[in-house]
Amino acid sequence: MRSKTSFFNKTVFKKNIMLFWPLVICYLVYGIVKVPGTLWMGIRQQTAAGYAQCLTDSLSLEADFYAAAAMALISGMLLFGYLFKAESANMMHALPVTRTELFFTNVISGFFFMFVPQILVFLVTMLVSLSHRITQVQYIGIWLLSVMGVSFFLYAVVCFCVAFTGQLFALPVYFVVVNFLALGISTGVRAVLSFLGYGISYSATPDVFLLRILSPFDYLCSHVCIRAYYALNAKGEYVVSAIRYNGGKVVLGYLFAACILYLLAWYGYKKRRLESAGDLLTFQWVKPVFRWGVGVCIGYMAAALLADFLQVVFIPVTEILFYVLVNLFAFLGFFIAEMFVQKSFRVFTRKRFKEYGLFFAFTLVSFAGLLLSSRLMEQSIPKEEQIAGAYIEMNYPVQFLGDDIKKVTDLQKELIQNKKDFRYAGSMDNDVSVFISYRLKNGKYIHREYTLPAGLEESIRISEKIYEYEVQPENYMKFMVGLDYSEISDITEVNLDNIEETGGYAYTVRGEGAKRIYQALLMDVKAKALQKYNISNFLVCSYDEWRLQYPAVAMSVEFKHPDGNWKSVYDQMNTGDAGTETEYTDGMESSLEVDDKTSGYLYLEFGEDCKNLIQALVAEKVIQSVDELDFHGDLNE
Amino acid sequence: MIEVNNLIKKFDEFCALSGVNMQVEKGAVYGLVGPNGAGKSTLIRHLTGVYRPDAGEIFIDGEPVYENCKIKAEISCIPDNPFYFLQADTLEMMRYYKGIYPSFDEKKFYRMQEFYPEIDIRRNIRKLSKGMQKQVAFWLSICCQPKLLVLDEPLDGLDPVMRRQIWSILMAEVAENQMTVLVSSHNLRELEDVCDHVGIMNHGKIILERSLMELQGNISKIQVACPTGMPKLSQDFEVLHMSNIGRVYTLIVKGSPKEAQRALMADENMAVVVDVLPLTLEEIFIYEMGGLGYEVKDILF
Repeated sequence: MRSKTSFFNKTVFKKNIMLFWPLVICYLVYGIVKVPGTLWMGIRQQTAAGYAQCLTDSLSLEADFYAAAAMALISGMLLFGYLFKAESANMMHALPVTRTELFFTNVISGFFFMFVPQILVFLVTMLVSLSHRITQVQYIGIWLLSVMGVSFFLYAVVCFCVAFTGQLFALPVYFVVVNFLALGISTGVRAVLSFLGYGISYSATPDVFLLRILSPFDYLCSHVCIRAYYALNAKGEYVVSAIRYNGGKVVLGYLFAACILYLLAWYGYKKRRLESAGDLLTFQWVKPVFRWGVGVCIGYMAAALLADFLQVVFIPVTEILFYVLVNLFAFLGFFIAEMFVQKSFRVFTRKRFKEYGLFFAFTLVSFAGLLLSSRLMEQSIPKEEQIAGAYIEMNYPVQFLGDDIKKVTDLQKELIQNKKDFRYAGSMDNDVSVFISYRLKNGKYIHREYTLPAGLEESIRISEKIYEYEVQPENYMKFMVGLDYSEISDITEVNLDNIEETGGYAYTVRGEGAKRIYQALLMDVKAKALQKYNISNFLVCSYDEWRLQYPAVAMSVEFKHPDGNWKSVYDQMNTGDAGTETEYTDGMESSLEVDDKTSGYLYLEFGEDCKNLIQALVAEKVIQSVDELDFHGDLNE
Repeated sequence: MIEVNNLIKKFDEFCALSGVNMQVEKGAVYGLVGPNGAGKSTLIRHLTGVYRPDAGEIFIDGEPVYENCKIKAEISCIPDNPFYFLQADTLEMMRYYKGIYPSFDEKKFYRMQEFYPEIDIRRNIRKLSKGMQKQVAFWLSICCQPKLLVLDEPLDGLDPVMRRQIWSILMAEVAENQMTVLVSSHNLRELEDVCDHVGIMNHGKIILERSLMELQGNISKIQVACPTGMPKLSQDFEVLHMSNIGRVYTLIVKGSPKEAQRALMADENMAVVVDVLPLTLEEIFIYEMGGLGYEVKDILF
């Protein structure tokens, strides 16, 4: 007998289970192997101290989200599969079952397919954990709720996609598109902006947070996780000190979104034109959206790829040529989309060409918008009072603070003024990249990347200016040793390579001798004698010329950072002068990664002009005379 | 039983139904004929509640059919190509129909098994022959005890014995339970044997809808042996077609056959012998539609 409730039909539900139960078994097997299976295998190889790590390994959510996505998609393809063939669609809807009943029965069947294996996996994992006295079983419950929540959401996306297509194999494509469309659009716009704008690299374009949320699968994978935090135990081993769950609010947010998607999917199912079985799109109004969307995406994407390729083979692509390419590919995309919609090659009708006219105008407006945005971006230089720190990087980032910030903004203005000469000049092999970054007082960052083409007087002049900043002793020491270079006194050892007497083998100095060598090294830096052996202006001379001009030998210095918290110029650029935040859990320092920030290591090369260093080496009897140093060793090789 | 008023359906820019009007009485066996693309299947999908009309009304037993489970529970439809679930056997499909149709008669299903001795009810239906799949569709549909049975090209693929058997089962249902049957077919000779009403569709419209008796009573084939020339009839009669072989003339005449015979016999100088012959359904359509200026060859062949 038919169920009395108008949202569920018992017969249809039973039919779904009878027909597709093997899918449930497959998912269950995956779950058992992935979660309790991994846990059990881990437990067999670990001592009790490592059980928590085994638990977090088995509860890693990303793989389960991928499996949930596959399961939601396959369930949707099977349960709503009757909509994609005219015979089955007509038969199912000629029966005395309402569309609402069919829709919700299929939705509930999908939940059954996904949730039953997940709950069984949860129970088995609990059993395995409790039998091995693992106490942090609450995370298994959190795992279950997260996986169920994400499955609920992903199945809602599938049901939403079902409403828009009459083709089985279009469903996975739509599923992927819905999950990554916003991210794709963002990536595309950023790529085009970076192409059109001078000095705007891809990473310099703004990453819109909302677009990341609208790319749900990617956002879920990157924001929902169960993580282990490690600490040293009494035996000096790193063990899990705490397990943390991130992303509960994210899952809740997507659960809310899922409810809206189910309602939209239900509405779509009710309004669906069943005669669209076998068609790519079920609603008439979606067809122009599809044509325009595919046209624009193909237009910009293919143009950007081709432009990239042309630049690799040294064919400069101007804005006008880029726009021509966009239009060419957009035209193809528009009519290819129409071919898919009509399932025919005969799409070049007068009506479609009229629509294409509007589409052409749209591409023109969109291109003009992007061009204008890129122009505004490339011209925008923050005001000095807004800047907390400015950085110029050719070989490494040099920091400018206070009044010195103006030096960076002036340099950027010079670069922008030379846009016409710099943008398409030079060849990629000999060009030099210059990075300018601003750390603003409001916490935001602005990054620009410019190319100084080889062979231009103006670009050489600018590069020499930057090089001069880089060889400044303080800047250089910060780069080589760390921001705390002036406080370093604990030099553990100095190693010297390529000494003729030792047959090319390294020589090591420890203790006070090492300290004296380090002091000599500092004096050479102050005298700007060491820098030229380690960094160069490659716009002035090529690498080979530089090596010939400044033959050198290598040495390394190992030391201890006095506050045990090493920080590089890159950290300074990214976080300012504030120290790195340290996380404490139950009184123990914890971190996701076990980084050693107490020890420092300096590798450098020096040559004949480093008089202080050579003298110190002689004084410490590392060498008898400078002749023992094989400056040309590398070159001979 | 069925009332369709000004039904319109468009697929993109193509108008599949352009104002269909149709009336089918309860207990009638209604034949729906027309050329390919006339809109028969589209009309049937509206009658079974599958398609939503763009405009117009469809009433079954006085109620709209779209999304109306109460009415749809009284309708069973056998399409040209019946659909069965993947790996389902007849027994499983029977259970499904039993769960879906409140009036499904399981005992009848087992009673009717004797009519289909070749069908193994535990064998995957998709592995049965096309004819057997059709038989299963009839079997299940009859067991649903519908008040309206809609058949779309139902007997293609069935052998003559099975065709006769199925029609006899259907006719018995019509007689016993006042079941209404709407059948779409190209086989006019077969329809002639079973239908009491006929509707002919072309270009998305029902262009003619009459009872078979009315059609056969209103049009006749008269053979006249006329030695003195062409036979003549008064203007009260419409001669749809006339041909001759020597002095024997064949006339297709619209109007009362007896009166036409009398009128021809009255002129002693003209007619020597006058015979009235029955017209097949196929011939009626040819001449009736020919008169309306439709391309009858498209409809019938």
